[in-house]
Amino acid sequence: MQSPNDLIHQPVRLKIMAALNTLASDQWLEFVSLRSIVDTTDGNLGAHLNTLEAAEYVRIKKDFAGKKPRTRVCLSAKGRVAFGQYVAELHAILAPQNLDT
Amino acid sequence: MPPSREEAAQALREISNVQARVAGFQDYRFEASQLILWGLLNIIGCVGSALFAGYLLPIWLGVVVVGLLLGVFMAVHSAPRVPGVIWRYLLVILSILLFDVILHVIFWPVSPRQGSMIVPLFVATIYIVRGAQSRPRYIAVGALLAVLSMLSFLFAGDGYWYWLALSWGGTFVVSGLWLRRC
Repeated sequence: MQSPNDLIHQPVRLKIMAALNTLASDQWLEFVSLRSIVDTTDGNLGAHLNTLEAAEYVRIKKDFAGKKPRTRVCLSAKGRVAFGQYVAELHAILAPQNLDT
Repeated sequence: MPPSREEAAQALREISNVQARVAGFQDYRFEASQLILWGLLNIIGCVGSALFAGYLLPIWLGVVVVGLLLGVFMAVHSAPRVPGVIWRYLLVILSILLFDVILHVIFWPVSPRQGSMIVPLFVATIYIVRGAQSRPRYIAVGALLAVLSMLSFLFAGDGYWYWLALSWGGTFVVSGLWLRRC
């Protein structure tokens, strides 16, 4: 059986991908909102986002809302496909024909 | 090496939990804007009622019409991908209004002070029910609204409408700001 994507399987990255996957393809989520949803620290979230960005699974945009700096994150098309495959592989592991393996 | 069945099941549960958290987060954000809007309008309505006691009906009709127009506009822009958001929004607001009108008809004659308690207490109950079912912060919003509104009804003297402006509109605005920070 194919191994699910190790990059996504890490617990914090799994939460990030799951959260971003609920949004529409052109919808961005603010860093602070994602931190609240994932329930982790700024540094930890930033490090995992960098890993996902290096794999081209997420896109990160830094701009200003008025005078306040703002970081926003969006799932890329490649990330959405990878996450879909990852979830399909998890379901495959739990499929009845694989329960004896 | 592929994950075990337990690990796969755990990962799927985690995905489901995150999806529920995102839905709650988006729900709070949507609600925050509406609470601030209706809070400000209720403050205007209550202050208007205090200043122009003979024009309660036009004042509150104006509040409702402006609230519906702005509320629908905000609902469409904050949740553009939710199908039927306009109709669902109108259904909620008009149901609350219908409940208010029906109670007025059933219990007529109702004093302005008694009548002004119907909507805040009904809305407080709705929030507590929603909170008990899915979003716990709504319990605090509903409880605060109910307690402060009742305190205004029971203990506010001549300045009743001003106290109601604070307890009803003020609770909405503060709750909206609180939900926005979640």
